[in-house]
This record gives sequence, C-alpha cells and structure tokens, in this order.
Amino acid sequence: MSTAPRSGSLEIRGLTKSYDGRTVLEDVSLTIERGRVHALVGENGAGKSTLIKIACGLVGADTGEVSVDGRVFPTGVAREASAHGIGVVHQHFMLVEPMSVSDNVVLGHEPRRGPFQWFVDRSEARSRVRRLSEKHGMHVDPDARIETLGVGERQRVELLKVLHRGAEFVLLDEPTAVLSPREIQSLLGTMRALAATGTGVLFVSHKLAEVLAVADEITVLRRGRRVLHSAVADTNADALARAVVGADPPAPAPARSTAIGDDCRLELRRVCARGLRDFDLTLRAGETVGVAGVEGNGQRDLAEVIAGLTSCESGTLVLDGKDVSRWSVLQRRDAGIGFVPEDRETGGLLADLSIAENLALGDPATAGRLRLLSPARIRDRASIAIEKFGVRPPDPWAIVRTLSGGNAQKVLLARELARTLRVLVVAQPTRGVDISASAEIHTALREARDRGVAALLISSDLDELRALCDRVIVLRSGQIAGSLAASDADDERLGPLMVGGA
Amino acid sequence: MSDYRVRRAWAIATAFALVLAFVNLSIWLAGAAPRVVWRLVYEGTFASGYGMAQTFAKATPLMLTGMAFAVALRGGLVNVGVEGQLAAGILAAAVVGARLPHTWPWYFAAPVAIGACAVAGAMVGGTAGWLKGRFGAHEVITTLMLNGLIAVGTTWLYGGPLRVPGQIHTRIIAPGARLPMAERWLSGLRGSALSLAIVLAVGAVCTAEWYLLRTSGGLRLRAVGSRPEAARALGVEPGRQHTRTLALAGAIAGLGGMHYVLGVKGYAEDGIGSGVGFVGIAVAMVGLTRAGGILLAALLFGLLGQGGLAVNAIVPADTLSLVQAASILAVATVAGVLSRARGAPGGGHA
Repeated sequence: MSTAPRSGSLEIRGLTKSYDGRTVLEDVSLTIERGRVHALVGENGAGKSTLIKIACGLVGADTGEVSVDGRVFPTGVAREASAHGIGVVHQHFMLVEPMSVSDNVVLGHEPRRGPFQWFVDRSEARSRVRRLSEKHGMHVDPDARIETLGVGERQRVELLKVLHRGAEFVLLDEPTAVLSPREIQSLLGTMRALAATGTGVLFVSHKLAEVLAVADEITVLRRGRRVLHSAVADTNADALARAVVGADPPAPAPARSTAIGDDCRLELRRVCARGLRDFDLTLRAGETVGVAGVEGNGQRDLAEVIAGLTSCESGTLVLDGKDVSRWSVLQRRDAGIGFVPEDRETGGLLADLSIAENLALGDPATAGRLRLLSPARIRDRASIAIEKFGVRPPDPWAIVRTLSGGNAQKVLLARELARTLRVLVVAQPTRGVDISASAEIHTALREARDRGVAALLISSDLDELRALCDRVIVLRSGQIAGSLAASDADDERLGPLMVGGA
Repeated sequence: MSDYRVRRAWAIATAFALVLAFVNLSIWLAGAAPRVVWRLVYEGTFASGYGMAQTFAKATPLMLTGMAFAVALRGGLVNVGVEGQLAAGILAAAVVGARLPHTWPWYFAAPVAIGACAVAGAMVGGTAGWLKGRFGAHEVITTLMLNGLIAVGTTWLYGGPLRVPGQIHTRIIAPGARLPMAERWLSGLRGSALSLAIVLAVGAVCTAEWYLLRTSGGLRLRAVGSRPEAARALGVEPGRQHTRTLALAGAIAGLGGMHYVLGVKGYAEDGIGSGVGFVGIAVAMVGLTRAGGILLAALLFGLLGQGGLAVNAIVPADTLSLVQAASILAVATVAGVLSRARGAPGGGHA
C-alpha cells in the first residue's frame, strides 16, 4: 500500500469569510505540505475553526481558493474536499457509541461481500483497522465498543476513520484540549509518525509548548488575519505569545498577598461514594488545593460529592462546622458552595438561554419560585459581570450556545463568583480556553482566594495547578495517592503518584 | 438587513407559497376550481359575523391545547397527552358544574368550575410528570396511555353513571357557572359557539408565556428543558420540575373544558373535544411554541376547520385538513432552515 512519500501540498490562498457583516477571516493564506506538520495558533475567535470548516468543505468561502497539488476545487462542498484527500478530526467526536471501533472506522465506506455486495465484510473491516493502526503506531482494539473507550482512544478512532477514507491531509482541530498529559505526548508522536509517512498535518492548538515540540512551521491568526508565519526554528515561545495576544504576554502571577486562614472551611471525613473510598480532605479559608491524577480516578466524583450531585454513602461532609452530607444541592449552594463543572456546555451552562438568564439562575435574589424577573435588573446584573470578566460579545441577551469556549467559561465562573462563597470547586477551568482568557480566569480565581474562599481546583494542566495552588493532592482509584506542597509538585514527583507503582 | 433576517423572510415566504400550491393542486385533483373553493371558505368565515365568530370559537380550545404542548416542550417534555388532559378538564367541568348550588352567583360558581378544569388537567399531566421524575417512565408512553385510559373512562361515564335518563349527555350545569355567549352582546351571532371562554383562553395563553419568560419558576422550567444536568447543578431537581411542568401544561389543556361545558354546551357528552388535543400539537409547532405564534396558528386552524364545513358541498372538508398537514411540514422545514442559519456563525469554537 505504502509508496514513497509524495511531495505536494494543500494550499489555501486569500481566504475571506464574514458572517452577518462580521469578518472572521480576512485574506488568510496557508500551505500544508505533505510530510510536514503545520501548526495553527490563535485565540478563541481568531478564525481557526472557520478556516478548518472551509478547508474541509463544511462552509463556503466568500473569496479565496483552496487547492490540492495545484488543482483548485470549490469550497463549501464536503464531498470535493474529501475527494481531494482532506480529512478532519473535529474537537467534538462524531462516533456512534454503541458500535465497535472497526464499524465506526469503516462506516460510510464499508467493505462489502456476498451477493450484490449486500453484506458488510466485518473481518475485512477488522483487518483494515488493524493494518492502519499498526502502520501509524496507534493502538486500538478493533472490537472494543466506543462507549467503553477513553477520550484519547476515541480520538485515535476518529483519526483512523479519516485515514481509512484515504486522507492525505489531516486537519486536527484542538486535539489536545481534551487529553491528559500522557495522551498528549502520544498524540504528538502520532502526528510526527503521520508526517513521516507522507501525510500533511494541520495542528490547531492554544498551547505553545506543544506546538514548538511537534510542528515544522507555524501560522498565527489574530482576529481573522495572519499575523505570523515562520519555520519553527526561527521563532520561540515569547515571540509566538506576543503574536497570538497582539501585545506583550500577561505578566507572571503576583505572589499571594494573603495568608491561609486557620479555620477549616470544608472537611471530608472518611467519605465513601461512587468512585471515592474513605476519603479525607480539609480545606482552609483562603487555601487552594489542587487535584491531579489520570482522568477517571475519582476527580469528578469528588467534585460532585461536594456539590451534592452525588450522595455520600458513608462518612461526613462538614461545611463551617455543620454536617451537610444530607443537604440538597440547593441548600449547599445557599450555604456558599460554588461549583464549576468540567463539562461546562452540558453540566454547567444552559446553552439555549441567554447570558443574562444563565446568570439569573445562579442569583440568590431570584431563587424563589414565583419571584418576578425584572428584565432590566437581570440585564444590568449581567452587564456588570460581562464587563468585569470581559465576556465577548458584551451582549446580555446573547445566547450562550454562540459563545466561544473561553467566554462560556467566563460566564459560568461569573455566575458562581457573583455570590458570597465559602467554598469553590472548579474543574478544568481553562480546558480549551485561549491564553488571554485563561489569564483572566486565573486572575478571577486568585481574587476569590484573596477574599478567603477555600478552593478545590481539579485540573489536568499541571502548570495550572502549580501556578494557583498551595498544595496538590494526587487521586488514584478514588483515594489520595499523595499530597505535595505546590513548590514540590514537579512532573517527576507527580508522574509516579498519578500512574502508581514505582 | 442581516443575513439571518433575509433568509428567514425567504424561508417563510417559500413555505407559504408551497403550501398554497399544494392545496390548490389537491382541490383541482378533487375536481373543483380552487377559486370557487377559496371563495366559499371566505364566505363561510370572514364574510359574515357568524362565520368569524365560529372561526374564533373553533380557535378557542386549540390555543389552549397548543400552549399546553408548547409549555411542556420548552420544559424538555413531549406532551402527547394534551388530548387526555383536555378530556379530564371537560369531565371535571361537567361533574363540578352540575353539583354547584343553583343559588350561587356567577362570581362564585364560574371560578370554581374553571378551577376544576385546570386542576383536573393538572392532575393528569402531573401524574405523567411524576412517573417520569420518580421512575424514569418516558412521558410519551405515559401520556399516551393516560389518553387511552381517560377516553375509555369518560365514554363509560357519559354513557352510564353520568348520563341523564332519556338523553345522551350529562346533567346541565348550574346557571352561575355558565360563561356568557357572544350572542348576548351581538344578536347577529345567534347560534354561534363563541363565548367569553375565548377571552379567558387568550388570557391564559399570555399569562403562561409571561410566567415562562418573567418569573423564576418559568426560568427553571426552561432551564430543565435546555440542560437537565446543568439545572441540577444549580439545585433545580429535574424530576420534580418535570412534575410541575406537566401539571402546568395539563392545567392549560384542561382549561379547554370551559369552552365546551361552561360555554357552548352546558353539559358533557361522548366525543366532545375529541382530536382537539392532537391538533393542538400541530398548532404549537406551526406557532413555533411561542404564545403569539400559537394564537395566530390557532386562528388559522380554526379558520380551516370552519372553512372546511363551508366547502363540504363541493370538495370533502378533509381537503382543508391538507392545509394543516402541509403547513406543519412547511413550518417544520422552515424551523430547520432557520436553526441552521442561526447556528452557523460562531457556532461552537470559532
């Protein structure tokens, strides 16, 4: 099957696109060469996703053209793009959960057998998947059902699906945003392996370290324009960050100005619940405790037990000296527990409602059942939060679904921080969020800490934990595998605690 | 004018043109001239005061059943039990209305009878909501089953225990509970089914919309409809909210009982209001589940119902139910086009 790597490229020239008079891409050009990894960097709203949508034919361009090896084809026609060997792995996976890996990979292009080619050739499908995964060094069990797989494996299935359709140019839309550090390393390796076999890779990411580690060349978009294009050897993290933000990168965080209080805000005493075993934890006023660990080791359960979404089977949860283990979600919220869940689009925000309505739902002033919602009042409160957190667009009636990930996260954080909090549980606050929004979110969390809020920060971004926390606990199989002061929490110490053994 | 507005205008205009073309073709195939048929529709409805009153009368229960479906849908529930909730309202009006003392003045009797309609509908809807919240039973199944149960129950009651000997209907309700008919003010409307119920129905629909948009309870209802998990994290228990949502929807549907029993008839009998619940689903969809749209859609469907009677002589009245079917298809398509047009800019991560 494999032949010598061909040269040639996917070329995007002079692309311009606007929606409702708002220009999201302006005269952007970019070339993805076979056998090379091209990184595309930019803030949320810089136009990266629109560029990908145009390249794969989901959206038509206003002007400009897309060509493969010099053959121009019309934009806005998905079939044309895939016929020219362009494949995309979207940020949100499009897999059929109850079906097997091999069924998902061949779906739509199934190998056939039997009279009139009526039947799907399952064994051929399986061996194709096996061949492809060996060729590209991605291990996946062809018979596993998708719903049993973790995020990293699902992403590999998406990638195999694209390769099975004969993609020679693979576009990856923020693939690392959902992965753990280990999975990220393995994905970066896969990208290099793909390039080595002659595939052209476009890698979209916020994280400059990853980009510098894997890419051959880098393009930076800012507000729909190309502001930088350079070989990776000719640039560095500082120059990239400046190009991305359009100004000097945010200054390093100031040291904490307040001391940790003596009073114990929240205490978990031998708590057993779904996913947690005999869990003990103490949070003091003004203290931020980080939670590290391989995903699925009880982080989510810990957050939900505190928020009241999962009930304690035994043990007690003590808030300000009161046993709150049997309290409802609402009682705990009223007592000052705030919760920012990791799945902000489904578990945190109401995507069909406006920013103002989302904020009003968290506002104790509108807690009653028959309280009237004065439109002027909820609009004004929303405007204050929008201004304070820099939410874009600054329109209280904007529907949350239309916001970018970073802005949605700001709305969610604003909703929780608008109240008088005693304890805040935050999960993955900056996952999929761009550099400047991340910095703003970190600032908001620090301000809450300085007001004396006790915080539990669950994150797979170890740098984030080190930047914000006083100490870091590592979860494994629903228990604390270790606890480190933030200054000691380097990758060498955290790594073994996360995976166990050694 | 923005991209979205242009697209919306085009989509709606195209849909209506297609519906008209399709219906005209059907009329022509049925062997009549569309021009003649439409003239009859006009003469049977808007041309006379009586025709208009009948149109409004037919729209009265439809706006309530339409809103009942819409409220539940905005709370994330598919309420196909509107039919049964309306039937419960009719039954309650007949039973309670007939037992009220004849000496009661209207300002005691009418509110009690109207309240009975709402409570009965709410109990039927709330039962389905409770079954969902408590046991996870899907509301489409439970509301449909309740429809069947109530249909059988009312048929038996109206044919047996509640029947007035020598008649096929229940006892006439207390005079104080009767809503005044339109003919009382306009003698030209003699014989029309239009009553004060339409004013109360419009009021109920508008109040429901106001509740959804302007109160915290309505916000919670919509929150659960949007994302139950997120609502739960905010302390709104989706299970309990489902009960409340369907009880509210049922109460609105049940109010339809006042149009029939307290208004035009004064009693209940088998077959009253049958099918009106299901047409209400269409009214809600064509009205895009908003109060304003539902009121207009109810009028449209009332017009088609009344117009159907007028054209019955030359084409089957069913010809005009084609308009219903075609407009549902068209509106569903338009709604799809619109949501796609709105989803495009900046959808997800831009």
